[in-house]
Amino acid sequence: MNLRQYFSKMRGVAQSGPPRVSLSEVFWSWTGAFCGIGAVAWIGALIGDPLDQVMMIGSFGASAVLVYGAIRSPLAQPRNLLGGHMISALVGVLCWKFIGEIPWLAQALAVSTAIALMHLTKTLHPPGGATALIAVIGSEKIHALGFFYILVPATLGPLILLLVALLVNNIPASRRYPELWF
Amino acid sequence: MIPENSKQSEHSAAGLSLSEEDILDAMRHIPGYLDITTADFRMLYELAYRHAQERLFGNIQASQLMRRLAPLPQELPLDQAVLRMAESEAKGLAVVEGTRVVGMLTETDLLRQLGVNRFAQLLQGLLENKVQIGPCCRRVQVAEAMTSPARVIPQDAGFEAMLRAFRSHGGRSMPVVDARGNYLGLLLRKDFLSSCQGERL
Repeated sequence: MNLRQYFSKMRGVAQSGPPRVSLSEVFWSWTGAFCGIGAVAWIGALIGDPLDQVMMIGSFGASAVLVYGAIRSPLAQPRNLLGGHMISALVGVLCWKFIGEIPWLAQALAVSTAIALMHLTKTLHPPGGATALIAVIGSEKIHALGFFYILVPATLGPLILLLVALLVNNIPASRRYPELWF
Repeated sequence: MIPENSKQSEHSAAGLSLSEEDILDAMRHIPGYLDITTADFRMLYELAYRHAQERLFGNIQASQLMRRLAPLPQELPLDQAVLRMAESEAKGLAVVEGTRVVGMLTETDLLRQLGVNRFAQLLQGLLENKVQIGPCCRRVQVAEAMTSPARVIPQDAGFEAMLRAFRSHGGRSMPVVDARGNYLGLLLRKDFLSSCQGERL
Protein backbone atom coordinates (compact mmCIF):
# COMPACT_ATOMS: atom_id res chain seq x y z
CA MET A 1 0.00 0.00 0.00
CA ASN A 2 1.55 3.30 -1.03
CA LEU A 3 1.15 6.63 0.73
CA ARG A 4 -1.53 7.84 -1.66
CA GLN A 5 -3.67 4.75 -1.04
CA TYR A 6 -3.11 5.15 2.68
CA PHE A 7 -4.40 8.72 2.76
CA SER A 8 -7.19 8.08 0.27
CA LYS A 9 -8.68 5.60 2.76
CA MET A 10 -9.32 8.55 5.08
CA ARG A 11 -11.89 9.95 2.64
CA GLY A 12 -14.42 7.24 3.53
CA VAL A 13 -16.42 5.15 1.09
CA ALA A 14 -20.07 5.27 2.15
CA GLN A 15 -22.13 8.09 0.70
CA SER A 16 -24.51 8.23 3.62
CA GLY A 17 -25.21 6.74 6.99
CA PRO A 18 -28.40 4.93 7.95
CA PRO A 19 -31.57 7.03 7.50
CA ARG A 20 -33.02 8.89 10.48
CA VAL A 21 -35.37 6.74 12.51
CA SER A 22 -39.09 7.44 12.91
CA LEU A 23 -40.49 9.53 15.73
CA SER A 24 -41.97 6.45 17.38
CA GLU A 25 -38.47 4.96 17.47
CA VAL A 26 -37.22 8.14 19.13
CA PHE A 27 -40.03 7.90 21.64
CA TRP A 28 -39.32 4.28 22.56
CA SER A 29 -35.57 4.90 22.76
CA TRP A 30 -36.23 7.78 25.13
CA THR A 31 -38.70 5.77 27.20
CA GLY A 32 -36.39 2.76 27.49
CA ALA A 33 -33.39 4.83 28.50
CA PHE A 34 -35.43 6.85 30.99
CA CYS A 35 -36.78 3.69 32.64
CA GLY A 36 -33.49 1.76 32.47
CA ILE A 37 -31.18 4.42 33.88
CA GLY A 38 -33.96 5.45 36.30
CA ALA A 39 -34.24 1.87 37.57
CA VAL A 40 -30.48 1.53 38.14
CA ALA A 41 -30.34 4.85 39.98
CA TRP A 42 -33.46 4.08 42.00
CA ILE A 43 -32.22 0.63 43.08
CA GLY A 44 -28.86 2.19 43.96
CA ALA A 45 -30.59 4.70 46.21
CA LEU A 46 -32.80 1.98 47.67
CA ILE A 47 -29.81 -0.11 48.70
CA GLY A 48 -28.10 3.01 50.00
CA ASP A 49 -24.86 2.50 51.93
CA PRO A 50 -22.54 0.80 51.41
CA LEU A 51 -23.29 0.94 47.71
CA ASP A 52 -24.30 4.57 47.55
CA GLN A 53 -22.75 6.35 44.56
CA VAL A 54 -21.12 3.22 43.16
CA MET A 55 -24.24 1.63 41.69
CA MET A 56 -24.26 4.05 38.77
CA ILE A 57 -21.18 4.35 36.59
CA GLY A 58 -20.80 6.43 33.44
CA SER A 59 -20.57 3.46 31.09
CA PHE A 60 -24.23 2.59 31.76
CA GLY A 61 -25.20 5.76 29.89
CA ALA A 62 -23.37 4.37 26.86
CA SER A 63 -25.02 0.96 27.29
CA ALA A 64 -28.40 2.68 27.35
CA VAL A 65 -27.68 4.17 23.90
CA LEU A 66 -27.22 0.67 22.55
CA VAL A 67 -29.87 -1.38 24.35
CA TYR A 68 -32.60 1.26 23.94
CA GLY A 69 -31.42 3.25 20.91
CA ALA A 70 -29.86 0.64 18.60
CA ILE A 71 -31.50 -2.56 19.74
CA ARG A 72 -30.81 -4.50 16.54
CA SER A 73 -27.10 -3.96 16.83
CA PRO A 74 -25.02 -7.05 17.64
CA LEU A 75 -23.28 -4.81 20.17
CA ALA A 76 -26.56 -4.37 22.05
CA GLN A 77 -27.45 -8.05 22.55
CA PRO A 78 -27.59 -9.57 26.07
CA ARG A 79 -24.39 -11.58 25.65
CA ASN A 80 -22.52 -8.40 24.76
CA LEU A 81 -24.21 -6.22 27.36
CA LEU A 82 -23.52 -8.57 30.29
CA GLY A 83 -20.30 -10.20 29.06
CA GLY A 84 -18.77 -6.94 27.91
CA HIS A 85 -19.24 -5.23 31.26
CA MET A 86 -18.18 -8.23 33.37
CA ILE A 87 -15.02 -9.04 31.41
CA SER A 88 -14.03 -5.39 31.20
CA ALA A 89 -14.63 -4.90 34.91
CA LEU A 90 -12.35 -7.83 35.70
CA VAL A 91 -9.64 -6.43 33.42
CA GLY A 92 -10.02 -2.97 34.96
CA VAL A 93 -9.77 -4.19 38.55
CA LEU A 94 -6.72 -6.32 37.76
CA CYS A 95 -5.01 -3.36 36.09
CA TRP A 96 -5.78 -1.16 39.10
CA LYS A 97 -4.58 -3.81 41.57
CA PHE A 98 -1.33 -4.67 39.86
CA ILE A 99 -0.16 -1.58 37.98
CA GLY A 100 -2.28 1.14 39.54
CA GLU A 101 0.89 3.01 40.56
CA ILE A 102 1.57 3.77 36.89
CA PRO A 103 -1.77 5.41 36.05
CA TRP A 104 -1.19 5.99 32.33
CA LEU A 105 -0.14 2.40 31.77
CA ALA A 106 -2.95 0.95 33.89
CA GLN A 107 -5.52 3.04 32.03
CA ALA A 108 -4.19 2.20 28.58
CA LEU A 109 -3.84 -1.50 29.34
CA ALA A 110 -7.28 -1.71 30.93
CA VAL A 111 -9.13 -0.36 27.90
CA SER A 112 -7.03 -2.05 25.23
CA THR A 113 -7.07 -5.44 26.95
CA ALA A 114 -10.79 -5.17 27.61
CA ILE A 115 -11.39 -4.61 23.90
CA ALA A 116 -9.14 -7.53 22.97
CA LEU A 117 -10.88 -9.90 25.40
CA MET A 118 -14.34 -8.76 24.35
CA HIS A 119 -13.34 -9.47 20.76
CA LEU A 120 -12.03 -12.91 21.63
CA THR A 121 -15.12 -13.83 23.63
CA LYS A 122 -17.52 -12.32 21.08
CA THR A 123 -18.90 -9.96 23.71
CA LEU A 124 -17.83 -6.64 22.17
CA HIS A 125 -19.79 -3.90 23.90
CA PRO A 126 -18.30 -0.38 23.59
CA PRO A 127 -19.35 0.75 27.08
CA GLY A 128 -17.18 -2.09 28.43
CA GLY A 129 -14.13 0.03 27.61
CA ALA A 130 -15.49 2.70 29.96
CA THR A 131 -16.23 0.12 32.66
CA ALA A 132 -12.59 -1.03 32.51
CA LEU A 133 -11.32 2.56 32.56
CA ILE A 134 -13.55 3.55 35.49
CA ALA A 135 -12.14 0.68 37.58
CA VAL A 136 -8.71 2.28 37.16
CA ILE A 137 -9.44 6.01 37.40
CA GLY A 138 -12.09 5.33 40.03
CA SER A 139 -13.36 7.38 42.65
CA GLU A 140 -12.09 6.31 46.02
CA LYS A 141 -15.30 4.39 46.62
CA ILE A 142 -14.88 2.43 43.41
CA HIS A 143 -11.29 1.54 44.23
CA ALA A 144 -12.44 0.43 47.67
CA LEU A 145 -14.80 -2.13 46.09
CA GLY A 146 -11.90 -4.22 44.80
CA PHE A 147 -13.08 -7.31 42.94
CA PHE A 148 -16.62 -6.71 44.21
CA TYR A 149 -16.73 -4.05 41.44
CA ILE A 150 -17.27 -6.91 38.98
CA LEU A 151 -20.52 -7.87 40.71
CA VAL A 152 -21.73 -4.43 41.73
CA PRO A 153 -22.05 -2.34 39.74
CA ALA A 154 -20.62 -4.11 36.66
CA THR A 155 -23.01 -7.10 36.66
CA LEU A 156 -26.01 -5.86 38.61
CA GLY A 157 -26.30 -2.63 36.63
CA PRO A 158 -26.35 -4.31 33.18
CA LEU A 159 -28.80 -6.92 34.53
CA ILE A 160 -31.23 -4.17 35.46
CA LEU A 161 -30.70 -2.44 32.09
CA LEU A 162 -31.35 -5.80 30.40
CA LEU A 163 -34.55 -6.46 32.33
CA VAL A 164 -35.91 -3.02 31.44
CA ALA A 165 -34.84 -3.52 27.81
CA LEU A 166 -36.77 -6.80 27.65
CA LEU A 167 -39.86 -5.19 29.16
CA VAL A 168 -39.86 -1.88 27.24
CA ASN A 169 -38.37 -2.80 23.87
CA ASN A 170 -41.00 -5.49 23.25
CA ILE A 171 -44.01 -3.23 23.83
CA PRO A 172 -44.22 -1.55 20.38
CA ALA A 173 -45.15 -3.82 17.47
CA SER A 174 -42.23 -2.49 15.44
CA ARG A 175 -39.59 -3.54 17.98
CA ARG A 176 -38.21 -6.88 19.13
CA TYR A 177 -35.47 -7.54 21.64
CA PRO A 178 -33.17 -9.38 21.78
CA GLU A 179 -32.09 -10.56 18.35
CA LEU A 180 -30.23 -13.37 20.08
CA TRP A 181 -29.36 -14.20 23.69
CA PHE A 182 -25.95 -15.80 23.49
CA MET B 1 -13.29 -18.79 -27.20
CA ILE B 2 -15.11 -16.98 -24.42
CA PRO B 3 -13.08 -14.06 -23.10
CA GLU B 4 -12.46 -14.49 -19.39
CA ASN B 5 -13.52 -11.24 -17.80
CA SER B 6 -12.29 -10.13 -14.41
CA LYS B 7 -14.34 -10.90 -11.29
CA GLN B 8 -15.42 -7.27 -11.12
CA SER B 9 -17.08 -7.11 -14.50
CA GLU B 10 -18.52 -10.55 -13.94
CA HIS B 11 -20.48 -9.08 -11.07
CA SER B 12 -21.74 -6.04 -12.87
CA ALA B 13 -22.73 -8.33 -15.72
CA ALA B 14 -24.88 -10.32 -13.29
CA GLY B 15 -26.67 -7.10 -12.34
CA LEU B 16 -25.30 -7.15 -8.82
CA SER B 17 -24.60 -3.51 -8.21
CA LEU B 18 -27.02 -1.84 -5.79
CA SER B 19 -27.43 1.91 -5.81
CA GLU B 20 -27.13 3.93 -2.62
CA GLU B 21 -30.83 4.70 -2.87
CA ASP B 22 -31.70 0.99 -3.15
CA ILE B 23 -29.99 0.30 0.14
CA LEU B 24 -31.38 3.35 1.91
CA ASP B 25 -34.87 2.47 0.76
CA ALA B 26 -34.49 -1.04 2.16
CA MET B 27 -33.22 0.39 5.43
CA ARG B 28 -36.26 2.64 5.69
CA HIS B 29 -38.46 -0.45 5.52
CA ILE B 30 -36.86 -1.83 8.66
CA PRO B 31 -37.90 0.08 11.78
CA GLY B 32 -35.16 0.94 14.25
CA TYR B 33 -31.59 2.10 13.94
CA LEU B 34 -29.50 -0.17 11.73
CA ASP B 35 -25.95 -0.29 12.95
CA ILE B 36 -24.35 -0.61 9.51
CA THR B 37 -23.16 1.71 6.75
CA THR B 38 -24.43 1.40 3.21
CA ALA B 39 -20.92 0.51 2.03
CA ASP B 40 -20.70 -2.39 4.48
CA PHE B 41 -24.17 -3.53 3.54
CA ARG B 42 -23.21 -3.56 -0.14
CA MET B 43 -20.12 -5.58 0.63
CA LEU B 44 -22.15 -8.09 2.65
CA TYR B 45 -24.73 -8.35 -0.09
CA GLU B 46 -22.19 -8.96 -2.81
CA LEU B 47 -20.34 -11.60 -0.84
CA ALA B 48 -23.56 -13.32 0.15
CA TYR B 49 -24.77 -13.19 -3.47
CA ARG B 50 -21.56 -14.75 -4.71
CA HIS B 51 -21.81 -17.45 -2.09
CA ALA B 52 -25.41 -18.21 -2.99
CA GLN B 53 -24.50 -18.33 -6.65
CA GLU B 54 -21.74 -20.82 -5.97
CA ARG B 55 -24.07 -22.89 -3.82
CA LEU B 56 -26.76 -22.94 -6.53
CA PHE B 57 -24.69 -23.14 -9.66
CA GLY B 58 -21.15 -23.84 -8.55
CA ASN B 59 -21.15 -27.43 -9.73
CA ILE B 60 -22.74 -26.96 -13.13
CA GLN B 61 -20.38 -27.28 -16.07
CA ALA B 62 -21.04 -26.99 -19.76
CA SER B 63 -19.83 -30.58 -20.28
CA GLN B 64 -22.59 -31.88 -17.95
CA LEU B 65 -25.36 -30.08 -19.83
CA MET B 66 -24.22 -30.68 -23.40
CA ARG B 67 -25.76 -33.23 -25.76
CA ARG B 68 -23.43 -35.59 -27.57
CA LEU B 69 -24.73 -34.86 -31.05
CA ALA B 70 -22.60 -35.93 -34.01
CA PRO B 71 -21.07 -32.92 -35.75
CA LEU B 72 -21.13 -32.29 -39.51
CA PRO B 73 -17.88 -32.71 -41.47
CA GLN B 74 -17.24 -29.47 -43.30
CA GLU B 75 -17.00 -31.16 -46.73
CA LEU B 76 -20.42 -32.82 -46.38
CA PRO B 77 -22.90 -31.83 -49.11
CA LEU B 78 -25.73 -29.70 -47.82
CA ASP B 79 -28.46 -32.18 -48.71
CA GLN B 80 -26.91 -34.79 -46.43
CA ALA B 81 -26.44 -32.20 -43.71
CA VAL B 82 -30.15 -31.44 -44.00
CA LEU B 83 -30.96 -35.12 -43.45
CA ARG B 84 -28.78 -35.21 -40.34
CA MET B 85 -30.38 -32.06 -39.01
CA ALA B 86 -33.84 -33.46 -39.65
CA GLU B 87 -32.97 -36.48 -37.50
CA SER B 88 -31.42 -34.41 -34.78
CA GLU B 89 -33.31 -32.66 -31.99
CA ALA B 90 -31.25 -29.48 -32.41
CA LYS B 91 -31.92 -26.63 -34.82
CA GLY B 92 -28.25 -26.35 -35.63
CA LEU B 93 -25.20 -28.63 -35.62
CA ALA B 94 -21.51 -28.00 -35.15
CA VAL B 95 -19.27 -28.22 -38.19
CA VAL B 96 -15.84 -29.81 -37.78
CA GLU B 97 -12.63 -30.16 -39.70
CA GLY B 98 -11.36 -33.45 -38.33
CA THR B 99 -12.26 -32.94 -34.69
CA ARG B 100 -11.79 -29.17 -34.54
CA VAL B 101 -14.85 -26.96 -34.53
CA VAL B 102 -14.84 -24.60 -37.52
CA GLY B 103 -18.41 -23.36 -37.53
CA MET B 104 -22.11 -23.92 -36.93
CA LEU B 105 -24.72 -24.84 -39.47
CA THR B 106 -28.15 -23.61 -38.40
CA GLU B 107 -31.57 -23.42 -39.98
CA THR B 108 -30.91 -19.74 -40.57
CA ASP B 109 -27.82 -20.65 -42.64
CA LEU B 110 -29.94 -23.01 -44.74
CA LEU B 111 -32.57 -20.34 -45.35
CA ARG B 112 -29.85 -17.91 -46.39
CA GLN B 113 -28.53 -20.48 -48.90
CA LEU B 114 -31.99 -20.60 -50.41
CA GLY B 115 -32.04 -16.84 -50.72
CA VAL B 116 -34.64 -16.12 -48.04
CA ASN B 117 -34.46 -14.73 -44.54
CA ARG B 118 -37.39 -16.38 -42.81
CA PHE B 119 -39.22 -19.68 -42.91
CA ALA B 120 -42.43 -18.02 -44.08
CA GLN B 121 -40.57 -16.55 -47.06
CA LEU B 122 -39.35 -20.05 -47.91
CA LEU B 123 -42.94 -21.32 -47.86
CA GLN B 124 -44.00 -18.41 -50.03
CA GLY B 125 -41.19 -19.20 -52.50
CA LEU B 126 -42.24 -22.87 -52.60
CA LEU B 127 -45.89 -21.97 -53.14
CA GLU B 128 -44.96 -19.71 -56.01
CA ASN B 129 -42.39 -22.22 -57.33
CA LYS B 130 -39.63 -19.63 -57.10
CA VAL B 131 -37.35 -21.59 -54.77
CA GLN B 132 -35.61 -24.76 -55.95
CA ILE B 133 -34.19 -26.65 -53.01
CA GLY B 134 -32.66 -29.74 -54.56
CA PRO B 135 -29.98 -28.32 -56.90
CA CYS B 136 -28.69 -25.85 -54.35
CA CYS B 137 -28.39 -28.45 -51.62
CA ARG B 138 -26.52 -31.01 -53.71
CA ARG B 139 -24.06 -28.48 -55.12
CA VAL B 140 -23.02 -26.72 -51.92
CA GLN B 141 -20.84 -28.07 -49.12
CA VAL B 142 -21.46 -27.42 -45.44
CA ALA B 143 -18.31 -25.29 -45.21
CA GLU B 144 -19.76 -22.76 -47.65
CA ALA B 145 -23.09 -22.44 -45.88
CA MET B 146 -22.02 -22.46 -42.25
CA THR B 147 -21.58 -19.55 -39.88
CA SER B 148 -17.89 -19.30 -39.11
CA PRO B 149 -16.14 -18.91 -36.78
CA ALA B 150 -18.59 -20.40 -34.28
CA ARG B 151 -18.99 -19.14 -30.77
CA VAL B 152 -17.74 -22.05 -28.69
CA ILE B 153 -17.70 -22.67 -24.96
CA PRO B 154 -15.06 -24.55 -22.95
CA GLN B 155 -16.17 -27.83 -21.37
CA ASP B 156 -15.42 -26.55 -17.86
CA ALA B 157 -17.37 -23.28 -18.28
CA GLY B 158 -19.53 -22.64 -15.20
CA PHE B 159 -22.87 -20.95 -14.75
CA GLU B 160 -21.56 -17.39 -15.09
CA ALA B 161 -19.60 -18.15 -18.25
CA MET B 162 -22.54 -19.93 -19.88
CA LEU B 163 -24.88 -17.09 -18.94
CA ARG B 164 -22.51 -14.51 -20.39
CA ALA B 165 -22.02 -16.53 -23.55
CA PHE B 166 -25.72 -16.95 -24.25
CA ARG B 167 -26.37 -13.32 -23.35
CA SER B 168 -23.81 -12.03 -25.84
CA HIS B 169 -24.73 -14.47 -28.58
CA GLY B 170 -28.08 -14.81 -30.26
CA GLY B 171 -27.79 -18.49 -31.12
CA ARG B 172 -29.80 -21.35 -29.69
CA SER B 173 -26.77 -23.55 -29.12
CA MET B 174 -22.99 -23.54 -28.83
CA PRO B 175 -20.40 -26.24 -29.48
CA VAL B 176 -18.61 -27.37 -26.31
CA VAL B 177 -14.88 -27.84 -26.84
CA ASP B 178 -11.91 -29.14 -24.88
CA ALA B 179 -8.81 -27.08 -24.20
CA ARG B 180 -7.45 -27.77 -27.71
CA GLY B 181 -10.67 -26.77 -29.45
CA ASN B 182 -11.82 -30.33 -30.19
CA TYR B 183 -15.56 -30.87 -30.45
CA LEU B 184 -17.19 -32.61 -27.47
CA GLY B 185 -20.89 -31.87 -27.76
CA LEU B 186 -23.54 -29.22 -28.23
CA LEU B 187 -24.85 -27.02 -25.43
CA LEU B 188 -28.47 -26.07 -26.13
CA ARG B 189 -29.79 -22.84 -24.67
CA LYS B 190 -32.98 -24.61 -23.56
CA ASP B 191 -30.95 -27.21 -21.63
CA PHE B 192 -29.01 -24.44 -19.91
CA LEU B 193 -32.21 -22.58 -19.01
CA SER B 194 -33.95 -25.66 -17.65
CA SER B 195 -30.94 -26.34 -15.44
CA CYS B 196 -31.54 -22.90 -13.88
CA GLN B 197 -35.16 -23.64 -13.04
CA GLY B 198 -37.04 -25.39 -10.36
CA GLU B 199 -36.04 -25.98 -6.79
CA ARG B 200 -32.56 -24.58 -7.28
CA LEU B 201 -33.80 -21.00 -7.43
